[in-house]
Parts: sequence; C-alpha cells; structure tokens
Amino acid sequence: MTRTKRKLDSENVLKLLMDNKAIIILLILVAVVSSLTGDFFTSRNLTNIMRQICTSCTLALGFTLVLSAGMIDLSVGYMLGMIGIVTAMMSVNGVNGVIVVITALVLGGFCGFINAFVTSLFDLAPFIVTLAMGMVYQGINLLLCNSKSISGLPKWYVFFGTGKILGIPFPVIVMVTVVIIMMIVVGKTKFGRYALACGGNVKAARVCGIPTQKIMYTVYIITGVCVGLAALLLTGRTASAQTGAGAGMEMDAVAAVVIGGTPMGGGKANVFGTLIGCLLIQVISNSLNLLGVDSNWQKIAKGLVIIAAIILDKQGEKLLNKIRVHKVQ
Amino acid sequence: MHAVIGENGAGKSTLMNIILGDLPMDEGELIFKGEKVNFKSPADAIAAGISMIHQEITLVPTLTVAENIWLHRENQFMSGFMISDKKRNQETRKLLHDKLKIDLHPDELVSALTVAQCQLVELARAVSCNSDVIIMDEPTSSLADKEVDILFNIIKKLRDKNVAILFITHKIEELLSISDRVSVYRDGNYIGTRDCKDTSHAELINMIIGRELTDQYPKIEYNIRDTILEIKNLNGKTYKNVSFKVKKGEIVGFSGLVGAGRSEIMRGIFGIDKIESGEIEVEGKAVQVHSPQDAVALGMAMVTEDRRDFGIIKTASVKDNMSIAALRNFCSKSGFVKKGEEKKAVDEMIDEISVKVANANMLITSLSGGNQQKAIIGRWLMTSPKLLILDEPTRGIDVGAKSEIYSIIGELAKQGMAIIVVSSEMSEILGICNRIYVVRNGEIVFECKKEEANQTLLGTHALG
Repeated sequence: MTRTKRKLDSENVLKLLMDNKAIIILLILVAVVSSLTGDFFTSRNLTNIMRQICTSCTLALGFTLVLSAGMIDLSVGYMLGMIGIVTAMMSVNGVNGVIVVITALVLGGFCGFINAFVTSLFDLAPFIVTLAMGMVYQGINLLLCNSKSISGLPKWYVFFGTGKILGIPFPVIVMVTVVIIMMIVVGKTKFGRYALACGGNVKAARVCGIPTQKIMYTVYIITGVCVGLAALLLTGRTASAQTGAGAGMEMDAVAAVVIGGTPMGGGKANVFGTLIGCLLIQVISNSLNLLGVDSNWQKIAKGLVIIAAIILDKQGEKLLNKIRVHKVQ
Repeated sequence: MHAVIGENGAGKSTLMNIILGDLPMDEGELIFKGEKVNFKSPADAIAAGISMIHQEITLVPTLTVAENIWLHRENQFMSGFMISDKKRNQETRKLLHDKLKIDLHPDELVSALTVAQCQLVELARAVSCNSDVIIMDEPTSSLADKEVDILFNIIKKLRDKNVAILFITHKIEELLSISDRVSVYRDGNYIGTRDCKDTSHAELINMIIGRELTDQYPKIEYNIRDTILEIKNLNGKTYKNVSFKVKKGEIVGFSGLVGAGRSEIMRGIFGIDKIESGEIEVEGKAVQVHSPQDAVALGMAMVTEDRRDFGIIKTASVKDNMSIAALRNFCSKSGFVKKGEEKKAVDEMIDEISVKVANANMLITSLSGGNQQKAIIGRWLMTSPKLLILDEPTRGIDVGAKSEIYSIIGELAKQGMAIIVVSSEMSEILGICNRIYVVRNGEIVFECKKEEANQTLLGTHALG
C-alpha cells in the first residue's frame, strides 16, 4: 500500500516538474546570473526584459494556439513586418489612430485566413504553405519599403511601444491581457476544447462531429490578430518600421512555446508556459549581455538551451511512462 | 503447395511471423530441411531460404521495379562504386521474363503499377532470393479474379520447380482449386490438415468456424418499433447498391470478412468518407450527410473500428475524451464550458457503463483497451443518440470487458435505441443481434433473423 502511494507521488511530482520545467530552468538561470553580476536585479534591467518580451510573447501566444491545435504558422515573422510597415505608412500619412489599429488587427486576421484557406482548399501541408506565405510577405515588405525605413511615427503610435499607464509599460499591459484572454479561450471555452481535440487527433475530432475546418480557420485568424497586435507593439517601440522587422521571430516563437510545455505535436497548450518560455529566452540574451558575451555567442547559447529543454521533455516523458507502467504492474 | 486457412485473428499471420523470426516463439521447434532452426530475424530466414510476401505491399513506390527487387542486395551489380543499372536490368529481365513469364519492364516505377502488378513484383523479389519456401499472406485479398488467375499460374510454375509455397487465405474456393494440402487454424489452435482432393467446402467451413456459442452474451429483450434509418442504393468506392433498414430498438448485425466493405458502408453513412450516390433516410425524411457533424446533428453516433486513429484523443484526459462529442450541451451561449455540469455528466456516465478509472482527469491512454472502448461508447451515449453504429466494438478487448459491452448494448436496445453492430466475429453477431446482414465484396448478399441464423449459414454467405 505504502509502495503504491509513494509511486503515485513520484509520478505526480515528476509531472509537476515537467509541466513547469521552464519556470525551474528560469529560476536556476536567474540564480546563477544574479550571483555572477549585480546588474541583473536592478529595476531598470527587469523592466527592460519585460518590455523586450512583449512583442515576442504576444506573437508566441498566437503560436501556442496554432501548435496546440496541431498546425503551424511559419509566416508570422514576415507577417508582423508587413503589418508594421503598412500601419506605419498609414499613420505617417495622417490616418486616424483607431483606423490604423483596426487595420493592423484585421490585416493580421486576413493573413491568417489566407493561410487556412490555401491549406484547406488544396489540402496542403501548413508547414510549406505558411513558409511560402512568409516569403510572399517578405517580398511585399521590400516592395513597400524600398529598403528604407519608415520613421517619424505620430506620438500615439510610439505610445504602443513605450507609453505607460499608472507606471506600467503599455506593452506589458497588452501582453498580460492577451495571456489572460488566451488562457480563458484555451482552458474554458468550447472552441479551446475543440482546438485541442483537433491537435490531439484531428480524425477522431472530425468523427466526433467537430467542425474541424471551421476550427482551423478560427485558429489561424486568431493567430493573425495576435501578430497584428505584436506588430503595433514592435513598431511603436522602435518608432519606425523596417523591412527586416519580425524576421526570424517565428523561430523564437516555436522555441518559446515548446520550452513552455506546449508539445510540437499539439493536443496540449500551456499558455502561461509560453510567457515563461519567452522570459527564459530573453533572460538568456540579457544575462549574456550583462556578462559581456559576444552577441554571436548568444545565438549559440539560445539554440543549445532549446535543445536541452526538448531533450529534458522527451526524457521526462519516458521516465513518466516507466513509472506508469510500473504502477500498472 | 500448402494452404493455411482460418478466421480473422485465428493466428495464421502470427504463426507465419514466428516462422520468419519476426516474432519470438515461446516454445516448440522449427525444423527446416531436416535441421532445427530458430531465426532471430526475417533476414536470417531469407538467408536460409524462406521468404514471405506480406499482406500489405512493402515496395518503395518511388523506385523502379528492378530497384525494388534487388533492394539491399545490390552488391552483385556493383562496378566500382556505382551500381550498374545495365547488369541489374539484365538480371531482372531474366528473372521476370524467362523465369516467371511476367510482362513487366524493369525500369517501370512501382508507383505506376496496379496492386496486382505490385504483388507480382513482390513475388519476383521472393523468387530472386532463391528461396525454397515462399510464404504468402493473403496475396489475393486485393486482386480481381483475372489477376488472381495470373498469380496462380505463376505459383503453379514455381511449384513445378520444387519451391514449397505456404499460402494463407480466407477463400476456400481458391485454395481448393490450387493447393495440395490445407491446414485449418482457429483461435490460435491447430485444428487439422486435409488433402485438398479429399476434402469438401462444407467440411472446411465446419473446421474453420466450429466454435460453440458461449454464454457470454446477455439475454436481450428487443423492443422493436418504427424504422429509424433507411438506406437506399448506396454506392461508394468499395460497395455498391447497398439498401437496408434499421428499426428503433433493433440490434442489426453486419457480418462478413475483413475487407468486405462493411466499415466503408458505415463510414459513408456517417459522413466520414464521401458516398458516390444513394439515399439516406432518417425517420422517414431524406437527409444529406456530408460530414460526421451532420450525422451527429441527426442523432447518429459511431464508434469506429480503429480506436487509436479515429477514436481516442491520446493527449486528452478521460473526461475530455468523453465529453467532447456532447460538449455543446455543457456550454453557455457565449461558448464557455460549464465545467461543473460537464464533470457531473461524465462521472454519471462513468458509473453507468462502469469504466474502470481512478480519476476522470487521468489520461485516456492510461486505461486498458476495454475501458478505453467503454469510454468511447460513453462519449457517444452522452450525446443521447437515436442510432448507434458500433464497428468492431470488441476487437482486441478481454473477455470480461467484452461481456460488459454486450450488456450495455442490450440495455440500450431495450431502451429503444437503434444499434448497428459490424463485427468479424460471427459468434458475437449471433449472440446479440436480432437481425443480420451478410456483406461480401461490397454487397449485401444475405439477410436473416436471429432465429434462422447459424454459423454455417453466415459463413457460407460470407465466404461465397
């Protein structure tokens, strides 16, 4: 009796560790870095980190939904760049702020719709479709910008990136709001449950009478809207829009989401974990900065941490299975 | 030439895999050419001179015929570091044209071949290993009659060249026409061997089925009322002119061999696959079913044959798996899941059909197969369906869970639910259904009431 009880506990503890591995890695990292340098725990540095993750986190939140629903969207990086450029151009030409914001969200949603439409209409792999769409957006960016950056944004636009409400940076407010909304959508709504079911087993989900096509469209559109939001935050922070903006962010998003505990294969979502994953990646860069490490090494470190996180995930899962099998026997 | 015959799951393929070394044997010995052998892997067996043609085609579609035949054995065609296509094609031509009289070009891509031609390539590959024994696992199951003739001609030629052939099949007619001897297996047991010229169709059927009905089936009170589902002239890729009726309170069985098209018919009705033509009437009204979503809206439910691919959602808990189909009943208008109601309903269903689970939040994969199946049945019962389709509901499930599932089915029928059971186990069909259809080659060939049915009757019609 005590034997089974102890094993039951070891399973639960391991599961808890696995679900929160990003937090654990983060805490260890923070402990190490703060012991090496006193600059880490300054309020300026911490605010800085928070501010920097807002864009990538908002983007990664949309990505969490796509991945957990068993799909992928590799176009988000250049899509972000494109939305940034379009909205920057509009605002420089004096278009009303409300309209610009709406345009950003609608354009993002529309891009998501296109991804879903092309994928479902011709029954293609989303990996390739979204990769190609990303290239299309990259081309559009170059055409629009003509390799010059668009600057001189109005004040209200810059506010999105740098403004504060009650002393809290505006982007942080946006990010936290999106985290909460996404947690509710994934955890508490019918749509969220359906999306996870599609991610877990799309064939079974269809047999259950779930409108899998509709779910797919909705998932991509929501992701697009998140990208629109992220574009506003990034463009506002840099106070300009360039062709290169957003490039490669899809890969950071994948990394953050997976480290956060949402599996590549879908079926599960850990929204809070995505926030932690983003933090982790940013803290790595930041601490290496503080320690004066060359920025090229930072990339290498990032890559290695991601691989380590995934190895941990796999090994933990194996161990968990072993414990379960043991228990059954 | 020796044929091996038996029902699905009688252990034929397993036995062959053991001979080949793909699966380990528990005990016993294998004597080959007078010597005791024990193959550790199929490669050992091939080296010793036994090769096998599997039920599924195992060719690489993007390679040519010649490449496939000599795959992994290219050494003999090496000239330097390169494979000489010329030498290989010559050898292939010798093999195909001279030895086997198969009319295939060595350079043809396998993806361009028909299923029958692929079978011939597989056969050629087996022959090219210079095997003394060739095992064929249901080579004719996907072939048309004419193609079967071609295959048999080649097999006869091989037999004349002193190659022993072990031939697994379901089809009594064809084995009587070609084989010398036949062995029958049932439920993993060896039943007997006969000389083909001394045996008869009827004797073999008796040997194959021969099982007595056990009392694992509950006594079912049928409470039959008006027709709920009527199918008229349904046509699809693998079935044609299917018409039948199901009444409320009935348990209708669909018997037949694997691959007869029973599952495909049900998948068509439920909207999983497209139907080509035909009418579906639910409660007297013609309806269109384009997707399972439509079917569910019409009050249908279907437990699919393939639990892993089309049933469980591996990443989700027992609760989420069970509530998913009926989730809209537990949602507010704005789309929020009312978790309290959901949990209560799931717990009630778990009790009702006695799914053995410590906690509904456990992953569904932590349950045994039988309990997973019960959970999936529970998933559909939560939608309060009028018609429940069960495709092989007890496949791969232990005896205890089986009889529990039968009791559930009986109880549902008593309450007036219409139930369709597709099963390859004849005893199961005979045990619980009050009316039975037999499907062969995509057509309904026979219909009878429970009282008239027996294993021989169903078996005869299923085997044709």
